[in-house]
Amino acid sequence: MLSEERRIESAALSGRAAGRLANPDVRDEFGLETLDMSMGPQHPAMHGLLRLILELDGETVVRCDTVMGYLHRSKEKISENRMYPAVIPITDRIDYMNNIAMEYGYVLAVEKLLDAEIPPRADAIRALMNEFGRIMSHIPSIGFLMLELGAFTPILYAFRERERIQNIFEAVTGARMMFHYIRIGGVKADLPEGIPEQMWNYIEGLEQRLQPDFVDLIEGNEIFIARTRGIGKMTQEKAVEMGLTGVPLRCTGAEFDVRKHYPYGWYKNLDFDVITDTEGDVEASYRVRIGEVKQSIRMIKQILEDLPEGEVMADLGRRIRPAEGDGIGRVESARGEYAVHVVSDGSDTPYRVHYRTPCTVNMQLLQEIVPGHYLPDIMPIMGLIDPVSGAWDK
Amino acid sequence: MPQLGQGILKGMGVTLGHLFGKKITRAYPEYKRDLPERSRGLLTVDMDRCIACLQCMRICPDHCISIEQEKRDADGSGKAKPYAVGFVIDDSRCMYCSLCVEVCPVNCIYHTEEFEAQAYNRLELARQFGERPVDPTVDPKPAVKKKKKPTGKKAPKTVERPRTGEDEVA
Amino acid sequence: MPPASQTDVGWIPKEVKKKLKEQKKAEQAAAEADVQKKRLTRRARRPEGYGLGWPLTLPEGDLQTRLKRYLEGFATGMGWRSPRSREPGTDRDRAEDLTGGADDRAERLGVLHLSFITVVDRVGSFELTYELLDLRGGQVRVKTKVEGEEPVIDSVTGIYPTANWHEREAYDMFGVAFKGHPDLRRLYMWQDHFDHHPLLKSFEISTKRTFENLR
Repeated sequence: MLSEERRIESAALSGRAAGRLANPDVRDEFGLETLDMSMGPQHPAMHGLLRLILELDGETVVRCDTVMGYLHRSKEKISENRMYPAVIPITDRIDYMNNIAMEYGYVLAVEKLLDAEIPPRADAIRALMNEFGRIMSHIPSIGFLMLELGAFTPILYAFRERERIQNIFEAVTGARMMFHYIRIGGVKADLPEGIPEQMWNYIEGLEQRLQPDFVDLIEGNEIFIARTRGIGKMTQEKAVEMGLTGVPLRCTGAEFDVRKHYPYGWYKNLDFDVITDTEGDVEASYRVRIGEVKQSIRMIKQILEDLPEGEVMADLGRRIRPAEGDGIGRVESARGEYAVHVVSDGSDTPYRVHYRTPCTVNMQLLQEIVPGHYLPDIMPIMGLIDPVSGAWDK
Repeated sequence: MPQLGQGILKGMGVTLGHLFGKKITRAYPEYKRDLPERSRGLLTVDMDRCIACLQCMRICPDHCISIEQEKRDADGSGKAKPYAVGFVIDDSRCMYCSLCVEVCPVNCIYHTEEFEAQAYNRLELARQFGERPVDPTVDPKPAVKKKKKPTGKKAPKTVERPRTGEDEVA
Repeated sequence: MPPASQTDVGWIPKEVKKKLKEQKKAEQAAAEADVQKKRLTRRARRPEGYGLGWPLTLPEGDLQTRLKRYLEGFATGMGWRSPRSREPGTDRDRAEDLTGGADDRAERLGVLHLSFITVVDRVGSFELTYELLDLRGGQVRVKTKVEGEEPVIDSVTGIYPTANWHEREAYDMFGVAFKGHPDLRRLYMWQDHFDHHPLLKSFEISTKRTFENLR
């Protein structure tokens, strides 16, 4: 480990420009220079296309610089040239692990522009699907974390769960990944016959499987503890300062959840806890994720128990043409606060759409906390942030 | 502090338990799962019903549909109506969002259960439905009425189609 | 409820079994609650400034008073002009007035969290929206306008370090320069041989389909 002085120095250096040669001022005790290394963009363990320019002192990272944009498709520019309903399938591609939340944010923004009233059944179904989406995203992300630590089994169990939820989603929405289910004014179609029972059965089963297949398997494992405890540790002050949201913020003990503090849709009627942990390291983030899956199960049960009857689509007319102004939709995606700012000029297409993806903001943390860690610790830290390539690059 | 080796034993126990359980994987090309009713596969068009209203072409986020229309008296009513002479769906672009299906007023475009779209050539994926092939890479141009060339002067480069009340109908 | 003697003999009827199970569950829940309570107390014993798991003192009062306080904080505490719009949740002000001294912190503004910065190209001028949250249900939207083709605006990284990448993105996409930014590089597009700012309205894309003159 580096001394405190060096750590501060390296943190200051981490903000320097990319592609810079090794800084001659940074030398270790033996007067040796540091080594510049590029990790990615094509790295087998990386969560997508990301390049980290690392300055190494032995095996300790002194400086970490993030270079991104390898998957930049400029969703914002594409959205400007599409009609309002045709933007929804594009938002699906932003965070491809948690698509429902991405659609939800955009639709909320447009509905705010339109001042539309949504039928309660549609609201409940949206929340239901959103919580399934969260389970669908959290469980594989635990699996990815374990895969990067060298454990192969959890990812298989994680994808088994994801597969089963995908089967339910396929019956409801018609697609397995890019759902395009939440529409402006409601949802595409009502739940098919027999699906609520299937969902209930699945949730009951998951509740039983969660303990033996994930918690018992992972928690308490020596290798897991050795690789994650105390790794990526950050204070609450740092987390709030860096604008983190979602699991990285909550695992430091800060209690913030958009669903709780900026409630939207059906979440006003639901009873759930905001899961926090005190440690603020990778292990804590794992515990928060498991806790959130349990809370999602709780919420899904509440929604399914009293699903309101009625229509699932508000009548907003054939053409969606909101008045001039701007609307902001904010939801809690699996990775944090996701906000969409839609500016309208009164035409068929939005004038400007801005996506605030949680991954982009949370990724700023890398250059702050990676310096001082060993090179192999980068992967658990990535598991803490759990970024998705499509979401950080937009 | 957990006991040494306990975690591995516990992990192996879970694995052993699953070893004797029911398999959840399936050998894909041999065994195919039944698709649910709503599943969205490749698009297809019933050209007999198409009224060439171009709504699917307008809404498509990927511009994978191109239609060439012509005024023709197809149903023998004695009145020239828009008729799609060319209709192409470019499967290399389609993202199965089903917006065109929802927007179609006569339900002539719909999803099939087919989902395996593959070809050796990208142009093979552009499936033609009309009687005349359409180039999917080029923007569709309006059917321009033939005008008499103005005498004395050169013809203007872009001929703007005059908007008449008749055009707004149907 | 069957007689108690039945439970002693080893034969346990179904209802009793169920009841025992529920009892066990309740005990487990109580134990969990105990652990949670212990965690809370441990959190409370943290050093000064860590009040209930929060590093910064949380805003007090109900939403309306908080919002009013924030608006006043923007207007007077930071030496800003009084807000033109009296609508709650919005505050329009001039561009240069956005930052005070370098030592200004988020506490002085009273809002903890910068959610995002949106730049809108109004062809000739740029409209910047700063969305601020106090993480407890209050939100403040600051809107500013910058004129000119190559606008410059003060950076807010001194107040909100998280604005670093938000501003880099705005610079990359619109060419809006931020004065006082520690590291103003492009975020998404490549660094050299690319002189465009793609989200400007003047930047045309080739795949745009126009349906001009089509019926």
